[in-house]
Amino acid sequence: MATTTIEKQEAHPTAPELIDDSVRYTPLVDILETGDGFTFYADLPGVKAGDLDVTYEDDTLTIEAKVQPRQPRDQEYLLKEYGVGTFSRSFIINAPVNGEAIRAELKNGELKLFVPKTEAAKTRKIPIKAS
Amino acid sequence: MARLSDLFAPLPLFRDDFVERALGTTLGGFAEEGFPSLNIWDANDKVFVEAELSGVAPADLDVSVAGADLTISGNRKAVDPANGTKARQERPSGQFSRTVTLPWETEADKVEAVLRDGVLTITLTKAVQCRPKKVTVRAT
Repeated sequence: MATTTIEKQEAHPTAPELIDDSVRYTPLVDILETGDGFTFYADLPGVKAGDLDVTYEDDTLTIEAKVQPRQPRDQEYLLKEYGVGTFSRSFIINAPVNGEAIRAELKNGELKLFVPKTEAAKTRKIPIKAS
Repeated sequence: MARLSDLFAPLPLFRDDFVERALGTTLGGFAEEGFPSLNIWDANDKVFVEAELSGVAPADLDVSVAGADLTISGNRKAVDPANGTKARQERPSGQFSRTVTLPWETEADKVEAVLRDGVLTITLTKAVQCRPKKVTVRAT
């Protein structure tokens, strides 16, 4: 099956991107494609359902999730290997999908999004007639 | 409060030491420093260790303490492709284990670990002999 999802972000997935003076973190994402649609799995630690925003517009799926800082801004660390902040990532999906029927499930900091393909785009098995 | 630059060389809380000490597996592509990434800070007699562990159930996670060593290990299940194809695979999966040596011995029976929304927060209590003690200065 041909890969039909195009990545819009060029930045390394784990590097924070500076936008409007506030840092945005790019969540790691797995994408699975079946005949019926695409399933996106995104790691969004610390995100609650109320802080999550998923939109689909102009062939672009956008995941945005606010994360409140968990420690005071001036906290001093013995070791600091990651930052905490808003997650943001967009994907251009160049297969016809039904944006109205996207299903989202957020559990234990993991987002699962199912983006169904439109009927016309679904895999259709072609019956082979023997002659 | 101890800072990285204040620690004497033998106390292993330097980043390079983590690369050597971390027992991160290469299975599924975990980062070289070891998985999971950690943020560590202390306040008075407590030490806090935080890790981002999305998609790991408490049953698949193990946190253990021995003296000044804290070990976080577990298994993160990979996505089952079922009858589909993986168009993109970025998230690591599989067995992981990471051990860090803290600058203080801790009391093993006073460790709390909470996993919420994919964030693991471990609160440890410094052993009595490691806590800061006020010293009264006498004038003679």
